[in-house]
Amino acid sequence: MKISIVLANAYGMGGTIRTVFNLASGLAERHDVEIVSLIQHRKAPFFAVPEGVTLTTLAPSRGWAARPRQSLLARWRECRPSTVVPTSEAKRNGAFSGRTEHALRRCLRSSDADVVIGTRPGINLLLAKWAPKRILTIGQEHVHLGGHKKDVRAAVKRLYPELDGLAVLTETDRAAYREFLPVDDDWTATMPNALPPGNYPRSTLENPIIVAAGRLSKIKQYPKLLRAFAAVAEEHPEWRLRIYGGGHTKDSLLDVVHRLGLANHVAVMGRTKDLAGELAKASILAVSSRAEGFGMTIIEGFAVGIPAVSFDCPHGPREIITHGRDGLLVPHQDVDALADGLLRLVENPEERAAMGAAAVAAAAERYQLQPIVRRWEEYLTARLAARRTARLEVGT
Amino acid sequence: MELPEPRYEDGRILVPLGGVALDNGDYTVAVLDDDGTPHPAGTSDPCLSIAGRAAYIGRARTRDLRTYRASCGTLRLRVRAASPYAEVERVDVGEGIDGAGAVGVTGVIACADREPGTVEASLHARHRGGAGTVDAPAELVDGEFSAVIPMGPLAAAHDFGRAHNEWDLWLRTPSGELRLGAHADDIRGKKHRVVYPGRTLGDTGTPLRGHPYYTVDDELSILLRSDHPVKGAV
Repeated sequence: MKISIVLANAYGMGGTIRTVFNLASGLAERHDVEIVSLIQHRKAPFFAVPEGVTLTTLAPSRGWAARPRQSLLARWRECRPSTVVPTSEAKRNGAFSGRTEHALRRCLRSSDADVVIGTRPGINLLLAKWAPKRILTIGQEHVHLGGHKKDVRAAVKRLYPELDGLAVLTETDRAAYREFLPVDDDWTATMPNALPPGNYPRSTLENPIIVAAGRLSKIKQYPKLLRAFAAVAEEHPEWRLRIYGGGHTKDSLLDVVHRLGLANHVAVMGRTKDLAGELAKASILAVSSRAEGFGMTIIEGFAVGIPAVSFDCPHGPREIITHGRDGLLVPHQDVDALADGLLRLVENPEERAAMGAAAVAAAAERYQLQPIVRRWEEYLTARLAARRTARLEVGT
Repeated sequence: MELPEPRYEDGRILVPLGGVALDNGDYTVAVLDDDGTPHPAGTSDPCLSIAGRAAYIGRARTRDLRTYRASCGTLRLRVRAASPYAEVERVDVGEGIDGAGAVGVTGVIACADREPGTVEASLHARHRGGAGTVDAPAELVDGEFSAVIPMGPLAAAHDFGRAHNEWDLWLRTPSGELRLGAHADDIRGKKHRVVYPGRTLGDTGTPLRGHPYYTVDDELSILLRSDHPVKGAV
């Protein structure tokens, strides 16, 4: 089949983009796959577009300094808000405007795709509203339902039932949607993100390094991790914490590092193109998030054989980590418990090694790309069949 | 360049590089098949051992060899000329005895043989682009050094004609001057990654802030600036 996947901005470097590219590469082995990007803010995408996948871009971003000159009409349209996307969603992601909505409608009208997949609420809503009925529309959520603002939830309630299906990352979220929307049970599916294919390095679990990764944003709660790590550094001053991720809060994070006297112990590493390689240099992954839509970093950590110590936060960590087997889930928001969990693995190299081995096994068994691509294929086929049945029923 | 015959030991392939003349540069390690065609060698080794690196810099060296794993999984070898330097392990910013601010540094002699016992040494700060120097006593025992350099004298010698005044730090020993730096681990580009707090210096009325920092070459210097506050002040 021909599958079209719509991203807000395929040129950025976020986790959603990476996982969507990954899924696209898996689907492209047996299908015709196209990625549609609402906007672009640079010439070339940060991540390489997978082989066999085509990339179509609808509009250059307003913030792109080097963008080509745009027509008056295009500029007028981009000043207009989308008629479908709620305000908070448009605020959160700069890709939504009257212009991109118009361009997406045109793109969908002339599309020969069998399936179109949205990748965030604003796009899912646009697909629900504008996709021609001949195309199977599947929404994909990378953020849990409870993480959406009120206006997004209202729009989801109104428009998502128009979609032919919805893929979410966790079972918890699937249950939430089944309660929230008047849809059949098999309308939703849980589709965890898959590991990008490739050879993964394997941690020796000997370096005194704890690693954390993810955007430097409030939801990651790095100050809490720093407080927990301070307890580790006090007992074991040779241990270091490396934090990977981009973001605008680096200065305030460094303030906390300095306040806690951890300047010698913490490296704020910035972004990396080889997260797996960097994770493999460490021995423990720490997760201090208030919420994790999924927890891709945990799975990548597993793939390189490092156990995770995580707050038992909604939603991903508790579905990925088996407490005591491949990592530790500590009471949510309990900084002392996070410190104790880290200390436990710092002080017990044998337990660390056992958990690291279990983590590698868990990653291989549950998060390889091929089985997840098969799940997608089965789900899409089932949704196509369900739609045909529904049409026959309407017809009779 | 072809390498010597490897040895096999505990499931590992060991290639002695001691006698191999390698120019500075980055090399891809490849395995030659029967036809002599090279195939890049893949590795699952993260190619970092913190303990191994600490031991590696513990004796005299004229070159620094390190393996690394490229993101595609290929084994690479980086060869660089090495010379003795002072590897920084810990930096502290505090009040100092005179309350005017001071930077404490501890570390080890690297890429040189470590002389046992106590050796006479001092920490030497050199005003970059100027003539000023400031010296502070340093302890050097079994190759491990520690010193506290007061920032008061640096502030007193500040050139207000320049927004930034940098002071480069050296450990002076009887066998020579060793630049302070942090090169042992794999973090290249510490300047924006390992950041030390700043401190307001003196009460001369002209606000000056000083903080130790890593240069673009991962060497340790002290920056004094009179323009705007340094982030992360103590």
